[in-house]
Amino acid sequence: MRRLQKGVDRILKIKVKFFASFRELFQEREREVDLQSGSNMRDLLNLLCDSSKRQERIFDGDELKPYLAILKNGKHIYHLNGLETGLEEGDTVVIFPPAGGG
Amino acid sequence: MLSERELQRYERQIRIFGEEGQEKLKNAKVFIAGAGGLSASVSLYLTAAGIGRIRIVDHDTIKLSNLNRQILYTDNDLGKRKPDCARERLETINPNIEVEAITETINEKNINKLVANYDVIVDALDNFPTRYLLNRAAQVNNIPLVHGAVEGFYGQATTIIPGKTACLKCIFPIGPTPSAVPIIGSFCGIIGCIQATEVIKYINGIGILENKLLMLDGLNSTIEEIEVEKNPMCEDCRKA
Repeated sequence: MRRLQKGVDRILKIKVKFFASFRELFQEREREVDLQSGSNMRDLLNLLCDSSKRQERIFDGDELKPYLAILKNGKHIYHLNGLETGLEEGDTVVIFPPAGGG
Repeated sequence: MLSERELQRYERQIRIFGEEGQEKLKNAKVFIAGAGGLSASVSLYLTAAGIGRIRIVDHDTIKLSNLNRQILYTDNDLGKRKPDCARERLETINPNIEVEAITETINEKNINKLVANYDVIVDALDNFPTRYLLNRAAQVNNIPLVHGAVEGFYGQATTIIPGKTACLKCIFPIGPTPSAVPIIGSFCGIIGCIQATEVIKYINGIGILENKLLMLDGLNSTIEEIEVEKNPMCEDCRKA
């Protein structure tokens, strides 16, 4: 993540919502995160994954676990720019592992 | 026209959507993909609601480990074909409807023929690769698809309207790898009941989960919606 330059960078407020077992993993339903302007989804997820347990559930090396649902304002980031998807003030990011059984 | 017996049978729900609504259910044809856990509650409630024709497709036979959630079946059914047993059970519950049981594996070759001329498709499957076939078939044949899935204490449901809403590929471009996931029967039943309710509402033109993914959390006893959007470049739904 880029370092904050005093008087130059703005702070972005991003709302993050966790669902399904990620509520247990992150021990909360939603969080507001401050990021520097110019940050992207990778920066956000790196900030959220502050333990090896969280890191392992989200990432596969440098890449995302492919089946995770990560939506920015209702759109899956797979259809945007993946981990390089840029973030803007007021964005809502939803993160969860989809259920697959029946 | 509804018979005297049908008017009595459905009296409580006719109060909601009238005789006209009940006739819509009677004239409706619903395709249920899968005869497992989700299918158990979906098919039971659609049968009880008086859906005129239900087609159930599954390739599997009944195993002991199915019985915690697949409540259409009993110990006496072990080893039998699921669709056949489902049909027997459902016709006992409501002899006024037609249930067709097909024992086949849903694949790319048979899917369009299987869903042809049906009004609604219900995703009661246990894996994403087949769900994607169903999603494509729903788009190609312009048939609404009611999605549901469950895993442990969590599940999700939505209704996909071709040409209007996000499809399954828009929401979940890459699904989880198929595996025998942990499932609590009662919670699986809840997701199936939501799917059945979606079908009944769709047929009656009552508000459904359009571009809304319903997220059910059985551990914390919560139900919440996530807004979802269509991907304009989606390989499955952009032409629909």
